[in-house]
Amino acid sequence: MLSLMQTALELGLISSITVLSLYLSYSMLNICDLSTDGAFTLGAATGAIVAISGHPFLSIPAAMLSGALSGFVTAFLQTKMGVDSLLAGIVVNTGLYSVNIAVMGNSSLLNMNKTDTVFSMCKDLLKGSPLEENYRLLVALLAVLLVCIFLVLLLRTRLGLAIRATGNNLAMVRSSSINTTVIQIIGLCVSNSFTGLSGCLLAQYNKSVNIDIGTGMLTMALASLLIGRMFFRKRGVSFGVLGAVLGALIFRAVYTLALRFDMPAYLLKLIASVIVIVAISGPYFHGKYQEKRKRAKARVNN
Amino acid sequence: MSQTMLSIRNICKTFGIGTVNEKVAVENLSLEAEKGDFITIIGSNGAGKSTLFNAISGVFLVDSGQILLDGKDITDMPEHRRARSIGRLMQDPMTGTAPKMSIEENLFLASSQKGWLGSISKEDRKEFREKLALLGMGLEDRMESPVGLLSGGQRQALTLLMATYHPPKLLLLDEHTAALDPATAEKVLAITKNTVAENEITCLMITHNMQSALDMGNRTIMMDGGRIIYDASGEERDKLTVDSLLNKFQEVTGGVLDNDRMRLG
Repeated sequence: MLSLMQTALELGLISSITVLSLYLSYSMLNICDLSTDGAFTLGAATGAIVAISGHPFLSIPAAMLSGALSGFVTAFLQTKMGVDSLLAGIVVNTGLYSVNIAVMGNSSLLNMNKTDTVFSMCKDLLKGSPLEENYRLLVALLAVLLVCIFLVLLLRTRLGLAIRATGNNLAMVRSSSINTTVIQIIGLCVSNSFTGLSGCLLAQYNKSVNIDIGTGMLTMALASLLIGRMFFRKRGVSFGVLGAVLGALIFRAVYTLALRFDMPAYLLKLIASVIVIVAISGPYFHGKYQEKRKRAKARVNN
Repeated sequence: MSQTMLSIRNICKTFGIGTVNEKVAVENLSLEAEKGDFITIIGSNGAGKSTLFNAISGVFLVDSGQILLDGKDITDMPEHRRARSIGRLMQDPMTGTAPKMSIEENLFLASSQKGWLGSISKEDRKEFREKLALLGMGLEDRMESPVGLLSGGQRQALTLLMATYHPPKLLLLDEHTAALDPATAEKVLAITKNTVAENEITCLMITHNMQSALDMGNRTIMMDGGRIIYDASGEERDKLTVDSLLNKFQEVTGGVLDNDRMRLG
């Protein structure tokens, strides 16, 4: 059970980087980036190819760069080419399927059993120390920590504030001297570089990439994000970042427990969908209910 | 010694060309403003006042004509580049600030010249506090509160501070006090008056309140049907009263200024 929870923690940490990516694009920039699944797989594929060619450390920046590139295309389509924001994500996501197979060398499966990865490098590094068995956890923890610190610092800069303002009041930023197009492009590049990193880490963790590795990531990350939002409501950005990570961990933990109680694994994606629906429509119905009650009360008073 | 700050030459703008809704919003309009001019603009709904402001600030490009700001042709310049020298306030207090961000974060966006990677420093906070205190609305003690918690008047005063943090060449006020209660409107107008005078900002202000159109600024223009139909300054303007202004409107257009709001305002 303990090792099961440790695995859940590791996988939760790795997927939390995608949740942080959505925190930036969905919560801050207010763009629903539907290319997440494809960008995740792209990062995984690119990272795997670079690692297989013998550069485990280079695989990280390569995967992030590929993600950023995909984010650039999505952002360019919606800001400069008149493609609707949601459609841009879907189109890029579909196109990425072919791109990803091409990146993986016309194959839909890559094996990294004998490849040096950032995880195996870390294991070698820790050989003989008491932490040796926890090498996976350490790598995942370090990655999440760095991304969190970067994100919190970024959101405090003028650029970060411009990203937040663009998501919060587009009309205001549009009539200011800030070029919203540039802000949206930068925002989606950074956010998708996180997604790529997350994919790269998961692939190296699994020691394999499958073309379907990213399928459903968007919904699962969104579910995590919305779970995380329940904590630290109305607190600052740093707590928002923390909430995103916490949400990812809780999602993973609940999933692992459900598996433990003999839930079939294929139900994961359905559960993620239901969580997203409940988290979004819950407050909606709550609002309607309140309104109805208020009206009923007013009627009684009359 | 006077210097032309804004020069608008024969601009035209028609919306919905070729449709049943075709509407000439601004027709062959020309306007010159000297540096330091504070011009109040009145006119009934649909007179083209807001269209004029949108044309100046670049929300859309004009169909024909030319707009010069401080001698520079800005006719084809995109909105965000014009915004470096043009500040703007709208009627709705919600439009000028980001509600989920704090007062200091909003101010920092407007004030910072430290480049994209700078963040709020101690000195910035000190400066914000001093400037906010001048508004007299107690905002200096709530710098970390989200702007969404402020009242309409407070938000509008903050927006004004943001728009004039680095005094713009031109300030456009589009009925910026119309959504506020009378006492707050009065206060925001007083702050406006001070800010504009102190920084010698060239300013255009649309208002529906005839009294403040005459009380504020040094020149008043009246618009109707996309054109300027009356332009008063100097002695002629000093003699104007709300009633004579309404009569003037009737005389020039043959109609009655369309709402009582103006008279009562």
